[in-house]
Amino acid sequence: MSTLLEVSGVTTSFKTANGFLPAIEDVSFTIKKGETLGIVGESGCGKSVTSLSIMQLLTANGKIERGSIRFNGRELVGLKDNEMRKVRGNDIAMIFQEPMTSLNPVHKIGRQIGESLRIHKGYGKAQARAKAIELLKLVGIPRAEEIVDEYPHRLSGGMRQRVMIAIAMACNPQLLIADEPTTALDVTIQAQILDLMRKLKAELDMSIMLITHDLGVVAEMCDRVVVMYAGKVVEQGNVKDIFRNPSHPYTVGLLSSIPRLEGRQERLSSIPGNVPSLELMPAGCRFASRCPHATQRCVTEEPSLLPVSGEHDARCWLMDEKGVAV
Amino acid sequence: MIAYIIRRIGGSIIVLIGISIITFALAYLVPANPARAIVGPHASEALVLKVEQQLGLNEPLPVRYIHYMENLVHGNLGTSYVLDQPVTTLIGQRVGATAQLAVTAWIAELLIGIPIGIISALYDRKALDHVVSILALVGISLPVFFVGLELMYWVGFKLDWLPVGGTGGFNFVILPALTYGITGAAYYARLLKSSMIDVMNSDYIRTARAKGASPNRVIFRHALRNAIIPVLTYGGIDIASLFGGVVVIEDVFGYSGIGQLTVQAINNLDVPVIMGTVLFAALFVVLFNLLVDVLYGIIDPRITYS
Repeated sequence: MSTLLEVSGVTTSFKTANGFLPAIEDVSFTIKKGETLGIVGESGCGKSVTSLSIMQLLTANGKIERGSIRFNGRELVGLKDNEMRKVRGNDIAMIFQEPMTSLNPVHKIGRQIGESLRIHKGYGKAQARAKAIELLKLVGIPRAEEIVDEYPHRLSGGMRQRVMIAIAMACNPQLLIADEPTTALDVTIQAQILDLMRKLKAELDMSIMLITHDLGVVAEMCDRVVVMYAGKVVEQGNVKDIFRNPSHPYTVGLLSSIPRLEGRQERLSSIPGNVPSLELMPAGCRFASRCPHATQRCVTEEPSLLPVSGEHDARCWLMDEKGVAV
Repeated sequence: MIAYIIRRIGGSIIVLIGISIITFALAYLVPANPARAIVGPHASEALVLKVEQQLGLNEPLPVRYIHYMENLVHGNLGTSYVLDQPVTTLIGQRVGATAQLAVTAWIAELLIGIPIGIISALYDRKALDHVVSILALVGISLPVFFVGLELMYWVGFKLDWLPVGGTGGFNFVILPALTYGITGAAYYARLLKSSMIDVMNSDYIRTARAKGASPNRVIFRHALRNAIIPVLTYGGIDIASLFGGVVVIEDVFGYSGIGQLTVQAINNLDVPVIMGTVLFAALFVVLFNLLVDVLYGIIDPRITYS
């Protein structure tokens, strides 16, 4: 499989009262054609900043300071805005966490779906509307011919997320970035949306970058996983490797905080403490203060990504002494 | 929608009747006698009584009000005590000039205020925002008559581009309208700035940008329509009050509109004219409020009428 997206060494900073502080640091990963990559981590670990950096949709106080983002071999960092606009919505599309507020309340559904076709493909009004109906059918919306002329407030959250997916699919993108696409939806709808994404991925032959904090979703959807903590990649590898042999104590903590139906009912385990704030990043390993295995070395010296096996890496000194069980 | 409009018109009539009662009572309850005002301070008591009788001022207030309303229903607003002409004629002569000034002044405010609002929202707390905000603050702080006189002096007199004052064609409207635009635009700018900042930070704007929409497309197709509602609310009140006459500006520019008529009538205690102009202004307030409420629903489909 050839590489579609190659993110290497990306550092994105935000202007704060204390100057520019990095929200993500030295983030690297790749997405191959046809692959689904999961990015996991708790709130504030930099998942969304990573995706917004790729799209270059950071807020005005944020900027990519270092690194390279190559899409089909083409460097995106430093592209002029009008060049980047040709990529957004066309080659790389994105859906967001909040379907209730992500659609423009004053425009009809059809117009919002057709918009990227009109921007990128030069469609006319009627042509865009016809294609919008087709896309609504593709994402499984009943009565597509009527819904196309409805306003968003007439639709439920699940329906709106389907519309968001239809918008994203309009120009047949090679990469879909889905930022917590099911978090705001109830469980049955979540499953439907994930099914839909899987179906579309197969039909339209695209890659997906799926951002989530839900490891259940990752297990179901992804080929590979990148685990992020406090703005850094702490572990990456194939889904199977990560689930069978989680190597970073943070990943271990995440996995053990999933509630299980089978087995003895115990108190749900959680990782004590919080993600350190941008202002107070520790010098050593960023997870050290919450880590049950932390040593003096962890506090003073930051580990790099160390190989676990094959394509499986973890940013932990425990990997230095191969074979240590976590 | 139609049912809503009919209901609203019914409500408006009640409002107008209420306003007519209050104005009527206030105009006649002031401690001054209109008959005395007409004949002058040195006329004899007998003459005052005679005039009172002529005008029907000797009848009790409620009776006079009923008479007034009877006439009003027949389209008769009475006759000016001072100018000796029907009030409908007096208003009719000036309504064109006032409407022209009102609409032009309103457009001038929007043309100045909306771009300033958009710019200061997009460049919030940056240099350009500070520049336009200060300009707007200057505009809002300067007295209307001062701006009017400066424009008159520079544009009317020194440059000799436009008439210095008076009433006539559109040329006579530009300077008074511009005066109003400069002094009133800042309200629009401020309203639009804050709602525009809110809208620009919303999720659907991020969606639009994620589609590859250009900045202009994002601002004008996606953001402005969502941000314009507060501007519309204020705009309705503003243009309605403009139709009631722009007293200071009309005075500065010697512009013969409803505002001037009203001021003269108040000075002379010319009650039929006061009543006529107040009701005229109230009618426009009610009409524009209705129009704005209907426009809300057209601009934002989430607003429904029931």
